[in-house]
Amino acid sequence: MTMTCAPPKANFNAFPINLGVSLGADAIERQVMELQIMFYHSITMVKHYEETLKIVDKAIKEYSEEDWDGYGAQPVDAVACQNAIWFSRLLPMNIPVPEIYIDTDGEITFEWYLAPRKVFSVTARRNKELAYAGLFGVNKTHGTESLYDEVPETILENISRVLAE
Amino acid sequence: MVLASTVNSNESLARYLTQSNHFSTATHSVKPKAFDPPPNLRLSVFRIDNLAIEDVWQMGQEHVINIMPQPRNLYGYADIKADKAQDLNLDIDADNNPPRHASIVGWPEDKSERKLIAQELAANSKLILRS
Repeated sequence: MTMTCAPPKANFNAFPINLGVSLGADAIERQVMELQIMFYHSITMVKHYEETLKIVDKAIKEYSEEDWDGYGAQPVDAVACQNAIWFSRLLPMNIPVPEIYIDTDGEITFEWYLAPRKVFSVTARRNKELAYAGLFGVNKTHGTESLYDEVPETILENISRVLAE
Repeated sequence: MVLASTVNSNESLARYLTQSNHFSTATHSVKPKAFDPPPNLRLSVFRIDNLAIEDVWQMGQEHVINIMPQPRNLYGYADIKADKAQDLNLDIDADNNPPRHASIVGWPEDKSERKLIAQELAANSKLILRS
């Protein structure tokens, strides 16, 4: 049996950036990294991260040329890819894997699509912003948050909202 | 038939679906990605009023699929009334190049707003799949 201490609204892979300078802080960081390596061997623990890596890998092969969609799309953006991979590591483990696709401007979008009016998306931008938008019946939302070391609360709330029955 | 130089609000527009992730067969609906505007913010559509369905497919094959740099399928199209775009403060530029072509223009600068508009356009469109 495996036990985990990951909080429900975070992912264990998203351990906060180590701001400590002591030997103790370094030791904790090393231990966390060892645990993270163990977690990478678990399919369920890293499903968002693995799916994102797979999509990004495919995108680099297929969408690295200008006009890959015939409508003038820009090549997939390397920095946006890195930001998308980082974002995927932050997603809580209890959230279903979204559809991940490349935008026409080369950035990466994560989309939870349940129905035409039950949809929420988050785009990992090249400038370390997260652009989000959602339709929930007659209600709607959109906005921008910064990508740092945890998923912004607004985005988590909207993911829960779209997944709610 | 000669089309008016401006698009009537109740005209039907076709956004051709060239990728399998442009639609959902599970919910028989068009997905927002189908309406994501290109970098030049001119979303390509065709005016399809008074056309037989075979002509709609032929137009998509000839003016969309055949000019794509990579081989693509014509899975279907999203049928949307012009006023659904106009209600979102977008305009329709009927450039007629190629014939019946138009572009949905007037997209906001803010990306999150564009994403929301794409979601609304998708939600207000009808999925027509090629049989």
